[in-house]
Amino acid sequence: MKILIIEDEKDIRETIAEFLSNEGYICESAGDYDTAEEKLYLYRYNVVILDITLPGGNGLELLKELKKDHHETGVLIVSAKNSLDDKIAGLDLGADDYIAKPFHLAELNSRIKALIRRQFFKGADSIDFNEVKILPDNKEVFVLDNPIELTKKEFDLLLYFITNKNRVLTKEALAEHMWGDNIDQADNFDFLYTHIKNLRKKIVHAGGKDYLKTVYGMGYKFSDH
Amino acid sequence: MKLLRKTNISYLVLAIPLFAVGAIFLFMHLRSVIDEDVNEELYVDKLRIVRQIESGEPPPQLYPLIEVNKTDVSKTIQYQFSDTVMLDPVENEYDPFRQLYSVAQINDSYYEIIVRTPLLDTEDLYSAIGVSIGALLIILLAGILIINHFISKSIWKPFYKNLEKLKGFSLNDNGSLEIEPSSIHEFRELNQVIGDLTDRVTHDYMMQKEFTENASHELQTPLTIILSKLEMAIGKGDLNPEQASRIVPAYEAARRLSKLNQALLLLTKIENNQYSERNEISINELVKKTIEANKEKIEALNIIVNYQAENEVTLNINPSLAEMLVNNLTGNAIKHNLKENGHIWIEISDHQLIIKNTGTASEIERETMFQRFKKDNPSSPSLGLGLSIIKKICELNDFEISYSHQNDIHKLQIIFELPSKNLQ
Repeated sequence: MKILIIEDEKDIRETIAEFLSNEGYICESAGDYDTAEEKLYLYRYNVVILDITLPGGNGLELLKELKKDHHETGVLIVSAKNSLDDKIAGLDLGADDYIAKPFHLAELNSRIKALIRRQFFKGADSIDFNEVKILPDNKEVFVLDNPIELTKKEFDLLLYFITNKNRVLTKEALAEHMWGDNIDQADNFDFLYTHIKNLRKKIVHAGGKDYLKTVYGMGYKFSDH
Repeated sequence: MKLLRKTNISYLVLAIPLFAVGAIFLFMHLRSVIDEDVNEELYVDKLRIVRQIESGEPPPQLYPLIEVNKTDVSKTIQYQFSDTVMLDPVENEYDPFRQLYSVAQINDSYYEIIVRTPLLDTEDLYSAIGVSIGALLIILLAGILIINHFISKSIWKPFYKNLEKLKGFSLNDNGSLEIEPSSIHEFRELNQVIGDLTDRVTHDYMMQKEFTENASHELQTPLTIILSKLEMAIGKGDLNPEQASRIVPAYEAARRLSKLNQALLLLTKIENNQYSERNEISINELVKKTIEANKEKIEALNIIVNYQAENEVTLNINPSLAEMLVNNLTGNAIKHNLKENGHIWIEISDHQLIIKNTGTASEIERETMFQRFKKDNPSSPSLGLGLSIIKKICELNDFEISYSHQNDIHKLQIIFELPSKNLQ
C-alpha cells in the first residue's frame, strides 16, 4: 500500500511518515503544492493524506486534479481550520474522509485502514488477530469461530484496538474515538473503563486470550506479547 | 432633564425678572408723564380762574375741584403742586387728587386758589400694568414652547433617529452605522465624529477577532507536532516508569491545551458569525438523538432520564450549533449529577426547553456561571467553557437562557422565542 503525505509542516509530515511506515505502508511525502502535483502526476498512490493549506496553492485544487485522473485513490483531508466549509467542500470534491488537526495518530491510522477497506476490499475483508476475527461490514466478531455479541461501542472499541494493535493507546485517544471530540466533556473516563472491562470479559468468556493490557498511567494496549 | 425643557426653564428664569424690571420702569415712566400732563392742566385751570375773577365775575367754587378764598395776607408762595387725598362728597369716599395751591393778587385783593383733579388710582395703574405684562409674558412663553416643539420635530429629528441607531448598534452585527444627515453644523460635526468612532471601533474589533482566530489556527500546528511526537513515544510502549512519568503528564497537558484552543476557536467562530447557514431543526429529534448517543454514560451512572415533549418545536438554526447546544446541555446534566440515583428531566413545551438534573448546589454565583473559565471546582480538568458556548449560541439565536437551583435540582431553561417579539 502506497501513501502520499501532502503536508507543509516538516515535523508533522515526518511523524506521520514514520508512524505509517511502522504500520507497514510505503510512504512518500510532499511539502508544497508543486511537489505534490508532480508526484501525483508521476506515480499512483492508494491513499493520499492531503493538508488543505499548502504553500503554493490550495489543497482543494489539488484534490480536484487528483479526482480527475485517479478515481481509485482514497483521499483523507487534514485541516487545521476545522471549519465546516472546508469539510463540506472537501467531501463534495470527492475526498473520502476528513480529520481535523490536532489528531491522534491512532485515529489517523484507523481512518486510513477504514478507507482502504472500503476502497479496495469493499468491506468484504476480515480482520484477524489470532483467534479473534472481525467482519467490519457486518459488524460481526468471532472468537474461535463462535460469534460473540458486542454492543456498538464495544465493537468500535475492539476494531480500534485491533487496527492499532501492539500500540499503547492513551485513554484520551480512545475516548475521543468513541464519543467524538466533544469539547469540555471528556474529563470522565469511567465510561471507557466500563466498556473495556465488558469487552475483555466477553472475549475471555468466549475462550479468547486476554489481549487487552493496561499500561499503567498511560492507557491500553491490544497485544499478544 | 431634556435639553428643550432646560432651555424653556432658562427662558422662564430670565423672562420673569426682566419683565418685573420692565413693569417697574413702565410704571414710573407712565407716572411721570401723567404728572406732567396733569400739572399743566391744573396750571391752565388756575389761569382761567384768575382771568374770570379779573373780569369781575364772582370766584367759582366747585368742591373739591376748585376752591377760591379771599385772603388778607400776601404769601410768598406763588404756587405749589402736591398730591393729596380728599373726601369726595358725591361718592363719599377718599380719592387721590393732584392739587395746585396758589396765591394770586387780583384787583388789589389776594385770593387763595386751589385747583384739583382726580388722579388715576395707583393700584389700578399697578394692576393694569401687571396684567398686561403678565399676559405678554405668557404669550411669549407659549410662543417659545410652540417654536421649540416644532424645532424638536424637524431639527432634532435626525438627532433622535441617530440616537436610536446608536442604541441598537452592536459590534456583532457587522454592519456599519448609517447616520441620518443633518443641516445643522453642530449635528453634522457630531455625526462625523460618531461615524469615525464607530468605524474605528468596528475595525479594531474585527482586527482583534481576526487575530484571535489566526492565533488559534497557528497554535494548532505546533500542538499537532507536540501531540503526535508524544503519542509516538507513548505508543511504542517501551517507556520506563520514569520516562512515562515525564511524558504522560506533558501529553495530557498538551491535549488540554489543544482542547482549550479548540473551544476558544469555536467561541470566536460563533462570534464571527461563521455558523451562518440555517436549517429547520426539530429540537425534539435532536434531544432524542442526544439521549441515545449518551445512553451508555447515562446507564453507567444509573441516571434516570425523563423526556417529555408537549409539542414539536422546530427552529431555524445552524445544525452544528443546535447539536452543540443540546449536547453541551445534556453533557452538563450528566456531568454535574449525583453519584447515584441521579435524575435528568428534559421538557419541551411551547417554544422552550427545560433541562433539570439532580445535583448539589454549585459554588459559582448564578451571575458569573456563564462567564468563561468559571468552574465549580477549580482543580477539575474541565475547561469551564461549556456554559459560555451554550450562552454564545443562545445569544446568536436570540434565545433567552436562565439558570436556577432549588432543592438540589439544577434547572436550565431556554426560551426560543420571546413573547415580546411575537407582539411586535
